[in-house]
Amino acid sequence: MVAQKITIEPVTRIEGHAKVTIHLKENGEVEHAYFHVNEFRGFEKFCEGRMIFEMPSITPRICGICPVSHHLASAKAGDIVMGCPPPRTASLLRELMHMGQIIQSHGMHFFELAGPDLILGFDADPAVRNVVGLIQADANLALKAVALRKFGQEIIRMVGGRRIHPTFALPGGVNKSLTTADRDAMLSEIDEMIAITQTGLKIFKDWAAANQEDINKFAVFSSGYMGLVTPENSLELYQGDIRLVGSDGKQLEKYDSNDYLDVIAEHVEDWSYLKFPYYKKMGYPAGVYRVGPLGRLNAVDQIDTPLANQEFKEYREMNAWKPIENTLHFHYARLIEILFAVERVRVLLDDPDILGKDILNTRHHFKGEGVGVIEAPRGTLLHHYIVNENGQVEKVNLIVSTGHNNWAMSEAVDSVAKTYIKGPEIKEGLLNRVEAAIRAHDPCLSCSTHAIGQMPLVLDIKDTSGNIVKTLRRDA
Amino acid sequence: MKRKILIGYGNPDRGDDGVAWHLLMKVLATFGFTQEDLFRDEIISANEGLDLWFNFQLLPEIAELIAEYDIALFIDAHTGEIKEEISYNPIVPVFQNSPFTHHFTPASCLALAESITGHYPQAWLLSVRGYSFEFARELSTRTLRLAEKAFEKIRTDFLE
Repeated sequence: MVAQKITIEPVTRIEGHAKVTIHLKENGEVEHAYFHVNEFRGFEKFCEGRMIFEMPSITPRICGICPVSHHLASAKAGDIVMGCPPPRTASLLRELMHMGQIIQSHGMHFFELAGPDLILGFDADPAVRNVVGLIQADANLALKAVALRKFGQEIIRMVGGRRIHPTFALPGGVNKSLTTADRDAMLSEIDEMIAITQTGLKIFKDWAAANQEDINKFAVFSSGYMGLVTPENSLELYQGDIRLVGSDGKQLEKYDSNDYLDVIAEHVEDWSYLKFPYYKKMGYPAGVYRVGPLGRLNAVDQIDTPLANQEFKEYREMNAWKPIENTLHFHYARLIEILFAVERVRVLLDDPDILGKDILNTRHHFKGEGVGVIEAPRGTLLHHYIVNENGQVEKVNLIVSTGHNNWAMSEAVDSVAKTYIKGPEIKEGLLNRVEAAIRAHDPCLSCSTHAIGQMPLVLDIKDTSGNIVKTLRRDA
Repeated sequence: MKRKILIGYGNPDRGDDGVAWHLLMKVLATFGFTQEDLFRDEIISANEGLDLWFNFQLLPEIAELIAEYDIALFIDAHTGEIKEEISYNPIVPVFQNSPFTHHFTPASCLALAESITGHYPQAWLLSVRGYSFEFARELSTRTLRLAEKAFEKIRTDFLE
């Protein structure tokens, strides 16, 4: 058999389509697999010439999936550019909105998107390996999933004043305070949301206990890990320094987001349009790192809310407090983060300042340049603006979470392909596992539009001359 | 009178991706709403028995919402993977997976509605070919012409 190339290519809406290419050796084993992403470009140009105060309204429109993360990161960059740190109440409210985003995004991912993989099994028929199949297996669970996501969405709506495109955060603060009625409404649901999240954790742990072999061989590899931390190196999703640890868990750097260019560089591979961020001092690929739930929980020493911290300790003890390297534990880490976010919502709502009326600092000390950082659900998000003295944006650089994890997703696909392809026969279950390897990272690839209708997964088996000898297709 | 809902999704800041937004705004204008903000609220009532919903993308939580309606029209743009420039077809509940998160289809929406509530509306998908997806609030000339025809379909089948 000649060496073959297999391509898995889902079709997406615009120029950004992602595909998986698997190169086989002559004996049918995998030589290498690649996950290719077309990087979305254009927003930088689009933003040039805009006024800095417009940016928190413009940047969320880039991505319909995580607008809140961009909205808040943008406002934070504007705080620095304009030299107008927000009042404490404004920071609390922004963080509250952010917790809503974490809860709804993570909740949706686990229960409705990734959960079926775990609960129904990788080899389950795709016709049932989805949330509908999950409902049929456990109707109550599905309703809980919807409730959790709604809770997160309602926080965003109540805090921001509208459910989509909130014009809420701006340089110097926010434009809406929280009412007592809304605060009390959110508080009344916390216990139920904690219970739902704990249900999710139990589901995962039960599944993990029965599938340890899969967990230990499914895309397990070393890397660095990065995320925001408190001064005491606790989990932080809204504001803090960025901490980068090595594959041994030891701190490599802890830096202010404004200094990110001193720490991170981007490598270019000729087989992908998306760049590969890495830790400069270690070079590429030795300096690659992961972000998002797995990355964050490896970069911190503890979590400051009690229930989440208890889960965190149990989680890290799995590997004797060395970093957790198993890709499937992204799901476990994601659930712990939901628990933290729900507990953090209670902490924020119990703070008397959350109802304060001092929400905007209008005194400016123009600096001209600033980097806003936030831990979006998928990982560290950086908005870097350079602004002229008229307040117009001259340059924008944005590093999104999916960009940080680009190397990791490709590595995960490569690992899964090498583990599960052992000969010329390519089974349907492989597509499931490749999907699961990508899905664990919760990548956001659309960045502004979405695909209509089907998003098929097409696997082309090509010989070394590029001729398609076989096609497998998953009609989504 | 049967309750109807028009469900539009897409990004109005990305040119033709926002064709649904333009069509829903035209529907509102038909009923005298000229300055309405489609992002204002979850459901916008255009007329008795006719509601509108708009978002960047379809979301799982609207499954419960649409289950309360008798008739639903999903409106979106496509990039050419559908043969017809204007495609108008009934849809049935079928859940569709994707390796990329946050990708939710009309058929999946119906499937979820049926699973959660036992009911789903009679539904169609109206899809208009988009040609330009740059940063713009306006439709391209070609898609604008198609949108006018698509609106006629909406008007005759859902507004009268």
